[in-house]
Amino acid sequence: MKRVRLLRKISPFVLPTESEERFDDERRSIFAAVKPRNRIEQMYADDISCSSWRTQRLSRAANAIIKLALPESLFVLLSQQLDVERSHAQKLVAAWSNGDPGAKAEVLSILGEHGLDESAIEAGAIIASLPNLAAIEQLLASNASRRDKGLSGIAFWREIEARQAQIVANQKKVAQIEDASRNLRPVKHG
Amino acid sequence: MASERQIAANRTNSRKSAGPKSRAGKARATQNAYRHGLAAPAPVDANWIEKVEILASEIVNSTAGLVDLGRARWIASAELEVQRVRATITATISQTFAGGDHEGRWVAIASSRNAATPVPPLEEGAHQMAGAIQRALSALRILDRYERRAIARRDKVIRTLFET
Repeated sequence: MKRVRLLRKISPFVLPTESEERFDDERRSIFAAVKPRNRIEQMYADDISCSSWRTQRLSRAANAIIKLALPESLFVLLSQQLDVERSHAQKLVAAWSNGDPGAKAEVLSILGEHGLDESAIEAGAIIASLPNLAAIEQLLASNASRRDKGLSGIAFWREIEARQAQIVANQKKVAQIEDASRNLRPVKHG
Repeated sequence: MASERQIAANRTNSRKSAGPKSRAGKARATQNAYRHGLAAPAPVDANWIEKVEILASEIVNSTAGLVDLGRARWIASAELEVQRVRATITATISQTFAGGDHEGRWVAIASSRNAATPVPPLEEGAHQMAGAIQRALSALRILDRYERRAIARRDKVIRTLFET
């Protein structure tokens, strides 16, 4: 029998692990706030929703990157700075990563002996991830400026529309005045 | 002037850097100039023209005569370029997520993790996707530049059309 493959609709914005429905909801709420009046304003609204979606994605990635670096940071801290024996540090890190309460308590106690707490692990993880975090930060800044440009694009377009409406209104007024002056009869004096 | 010894050394060294030798290496080198195709204009085929026409007529119909069809085509074409870059960005992360380093050459494999450390208990998808984004970061930075340029080009088209 011929196998039928169901393919997921490819979206230009949404990744396989992301929810297309959630993206659509957020896009709808941005459109509801911006109220694009024509297709060009919709393009700018799409810029805003795309930037906002990607900002969330990058923030999630930054968090996950730090989380991924935590065990390595703990291992380096224990084995290289706090003189814990390497094999014991490996076991401890493995148990700590799996959320073992005993390992957590032991890690806290070792850190405490040196005047440290869990923030030292986070600091190590952040330092180890800095090149990636810096790259993500650049992308976030770029997204933010794109969102702002989307808003200024809509403002520009509305200004054009307003100017055009003003020109049309002025032309109507001029036409009315011209009509009225043509209809005026000359007044005879004396 | 170079001595005999220097000339011999230069010859030996030049032979060392004379390009790939293996068939796989040569095959890979043939693709060196090809990255993502975004620097080149989009291929203007029937499909592209149809998309431009559809978008252009949407622009004309929604702007109540403010934009004529000629201007709308310029805007539509520039907007489709923006969408092309966005699709490439999503595809790059998806492809990296699906298991490869995207095109191998232009994605820096970011971290060299210590094999002694286990992977932390994270949600499966989040962990994998973060890894994919991490691996695709250098490609994403390049694509970000292309997206910025594509948007700037589109905005310039819109602004210059109405400022004149």
